[in-house]
Amino acid sequence: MTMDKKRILLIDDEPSFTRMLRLNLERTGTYEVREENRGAQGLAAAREFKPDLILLDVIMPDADGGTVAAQIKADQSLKNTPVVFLTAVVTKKEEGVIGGRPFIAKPVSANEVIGCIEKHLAR
Amino acid sequence: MLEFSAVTLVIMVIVAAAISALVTAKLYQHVWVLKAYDTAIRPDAPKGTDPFSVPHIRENFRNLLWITYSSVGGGFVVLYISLISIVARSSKTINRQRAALERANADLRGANEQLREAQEQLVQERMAPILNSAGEGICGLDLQGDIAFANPAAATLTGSRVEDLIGKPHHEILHPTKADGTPYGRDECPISAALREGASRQVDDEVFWKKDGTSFPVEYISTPIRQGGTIVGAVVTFEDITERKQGEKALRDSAMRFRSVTQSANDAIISADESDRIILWNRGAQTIFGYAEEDALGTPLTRLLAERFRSLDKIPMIGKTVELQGLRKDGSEFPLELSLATWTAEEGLFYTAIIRDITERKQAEAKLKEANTELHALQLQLIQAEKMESVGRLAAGVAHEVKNPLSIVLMGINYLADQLPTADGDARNVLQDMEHAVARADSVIRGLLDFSAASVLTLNAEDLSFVVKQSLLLVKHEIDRSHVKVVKELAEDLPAVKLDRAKIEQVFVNIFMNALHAMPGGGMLTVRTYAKRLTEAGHQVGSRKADHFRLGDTVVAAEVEDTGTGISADQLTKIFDPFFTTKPTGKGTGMGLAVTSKIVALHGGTIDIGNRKEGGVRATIMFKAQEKG
Ligand SMILES: Nc1ncnc2c1ncn2[C@@H]1O[C@H](COP(=O)(O)OP(=O)(O)OP(=O)(O)O)[C@@H](O)[C@H]1O
Ligand SMILES: [Mg+2]
Repeated sequence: MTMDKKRILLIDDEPSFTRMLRLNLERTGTYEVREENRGAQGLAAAREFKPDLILLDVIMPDADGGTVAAQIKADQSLKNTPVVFLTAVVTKKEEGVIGGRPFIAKPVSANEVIGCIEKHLAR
Repeated sequence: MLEFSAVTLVIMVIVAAAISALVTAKLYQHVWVLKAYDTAIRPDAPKGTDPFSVPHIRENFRNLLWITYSSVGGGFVVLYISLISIVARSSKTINRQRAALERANADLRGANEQLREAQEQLVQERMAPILNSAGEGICGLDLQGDIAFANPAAATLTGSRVEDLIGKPHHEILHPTKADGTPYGRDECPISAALREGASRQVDDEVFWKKDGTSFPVEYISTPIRQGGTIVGAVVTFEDITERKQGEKALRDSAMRFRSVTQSANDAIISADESDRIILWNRGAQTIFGYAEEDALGTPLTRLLAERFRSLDKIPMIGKTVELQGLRKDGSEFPLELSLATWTAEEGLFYTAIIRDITERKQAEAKLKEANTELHALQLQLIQAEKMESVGRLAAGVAHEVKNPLSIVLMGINYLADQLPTADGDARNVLQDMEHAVARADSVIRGLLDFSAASVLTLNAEDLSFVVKQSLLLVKHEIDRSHVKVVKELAEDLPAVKLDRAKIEQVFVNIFMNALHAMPGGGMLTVRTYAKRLTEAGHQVGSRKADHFRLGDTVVAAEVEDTGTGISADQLTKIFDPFFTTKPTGKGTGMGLAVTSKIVALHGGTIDIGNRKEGGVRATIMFKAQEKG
């Protein structure tokens, strides 16, 4: 069963947020979730965890989301892994695809996040 | 008498002798006739003999001669004696009459003398005090020009005593030299001329000298005195005209000053008499009004004013400066500033007006005022812009910081909701309320962000009437719930406007919502659209955002009118401020109009919000129509 679970990597400097989101995702029973609260460790965590999808915050004290996303894109083993920005920098009105990247605006309900993940995994 | 009788006697003797000679000659002729006769009748008488040798002829002749001489002599003696007696009688009569005449003549002469004395005394008595008290100096001159008489004033004026003047030559005493000290010849002297030629002279440009060597300007009149047709002397009356000369000089000076002032002034200086006729017109007046002096003098002062000011009462304007409209010769009107003063002279009351053309000043004032308002508006805008910017920066920062915790809370709520037993209704309600609270907090933040986001517009050519209809649909639910009637006056075929439709819909939704909130008990919401060409700068009064239009631009406008509470004057200035609201917490954030005006401004449009005369509020939004082609 566990083998079927989709692996989701959460990179966000806010531990309580990643924990809440992990709990919400895990309660569905369909996801295996890993939290990473240091942006600079995002790439290393991804290489190690090999996620099916990465939810990435934009504004983090040590490394911003844009940089992390670029590193991931540049990594051979990770370049096809979908990255969804989950951030407060955009508004609800603006969320969606911005500059070719998918954005979810905070605050967001667990169900909205799940909907979004499903949409991207289906591709 | 003696000569007469002697002469007559001699004449008579001569006449008698002549007569006798004639008679003798005649008789002698007779003798020759007789002789001739005698010879004729007596042929014996020898021819050529003397008739007197004839005795009877000689006798006859002697007798005849005797008779003739004695009768002639006797006649003459009688004639002489009678003549003598006639002459003696008449000469006696003549002598008598002459004596009477001489007596009468002597009487007359005596009377005359008395009369003259009486007259002289009268003159002396009457004239002396007059001469003595006269302020003018009076000198009588004799034929030589020496002073025969001088009154006390003459002495005082010349600084000497009457007795020092008497007998002195007037020319040497009064004016031996001219004012500048050059010698004054007697032949030039008008007084001397009066004596010489008998002409009266009046002189007022000379000086008389005083005993102490000083001089004074004098006016004198010299008049010759005639007696029986001959000049016997002259009278000189004179007065010191120092003061008059000074007065005249002062007058001349002041007249000159006045003239130079009036002529050099740029202002019009105009005087008029009581009946309003112009009597003084300076160069400034000509420049300002266009009339030459000769055209202006004598014409009514009021002609220089625009028709509607002509009947104004001058009296209240005296001593004041008033602004009126002037009328130039060419018929053009202009603003002027008029200061009016009055003065009286012997001829009556006069007005003097000092008039200044204030066209330029008015223009400058208007420009200044305009500039001032613009500056003020700009300042307000700047303050507003600054406020907005800082609010924007703040909002962006706050939004980010608030959204993260909000998302944690929301996630937590979501998780807990999943963990709760489905039956626990209260707990579920609590979680739901919490979720709503998060949503509300989020909407505040979103408003802030909307407002501060440096929005990029997606512009498309739109029909404003259509955008308005769409916006009405968005608030359909709220309208239906209220008791508000919507009246649509939407123009068809409006010129297209370049708009970001979603953003403008947001604008209208804000305005509609404000209107609905202002009419809690129901009312009427009128929505109108139209296009017009701007023919004058500025539009309705009210709180206004930047003006971007020019005269001649075609604008497309939307008006939203409500019949609600209206906005108080002090609030009207604040409604575009972020966070300004009069609504209870939860109902309004005060961001609505701040965002609205920002969006409209991003479109280069304007928004005006003001109270309507009929009550309620009118919001007018204008955009520049898209240029064709
Ligand atoms: N049509 C109106 N009639 C009366 N008052 C109005 C009207 N429109 C605006 N106002 C006043 O202007 C204030 C500011 O309006 P604004 O839309 O900016 O904020 P709000 O309506 O209070 O809140 P929100 O952010 O929800 O729009 C209002 O609170 C109200 O007092
Ligand atoms: Mg509002």
